[in-house]
Amino acid sequence: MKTSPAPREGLSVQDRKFLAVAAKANEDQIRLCRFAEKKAKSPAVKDFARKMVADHTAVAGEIAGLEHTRAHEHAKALPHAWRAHVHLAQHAHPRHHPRTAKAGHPPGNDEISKLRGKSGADFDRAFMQLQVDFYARTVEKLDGEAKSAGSEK
Amino acid sequence: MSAGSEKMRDFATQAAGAFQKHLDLAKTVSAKADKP
Repeated sequence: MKTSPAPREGLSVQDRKFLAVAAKANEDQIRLCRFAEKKAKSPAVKDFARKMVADHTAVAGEIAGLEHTRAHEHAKALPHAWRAHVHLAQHAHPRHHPRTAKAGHPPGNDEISKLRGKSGADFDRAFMQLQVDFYARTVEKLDGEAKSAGSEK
Repeated sequence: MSAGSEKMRDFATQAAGAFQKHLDLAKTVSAKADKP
């Protein structure tokens, strides 16, 4: 990515890394499922892709909310002059925000590249296998995070 | 990926639950897609 992320005061480095990884994975999933919604042959696969686009778009909103809320909670504790600085840092250059910047993103991700040469039932099978693998991997990682609660301060 | 704060871990827990449902649905649709 060529652009620099906008500062997100109020978040620990660990939280920022977590949100950045989650946001990137979520974005890739939305992009992949939009692609699949157009290219899939089976109505069931198209429906699945459509539902994933909707659900992950909602997740993107939750991630943005976590960043925004925590930054503003922190800003309330700052002297007035610094609040203005924090607000400007968050809102002045939205095009430089990693999740709204277009320039740094390739038009597709690795999964889309793998699927481009496939069509029909072959595409549907390959896409759904990628989805099973993606969610199995993601659930495992997130479960690990939940179980580590309290062990990292 | 590592969620440092409790709030982030709450988010991770909720997301894990939602994505488990996505995994179950993906398996079901995948099984249908595998049939000729």
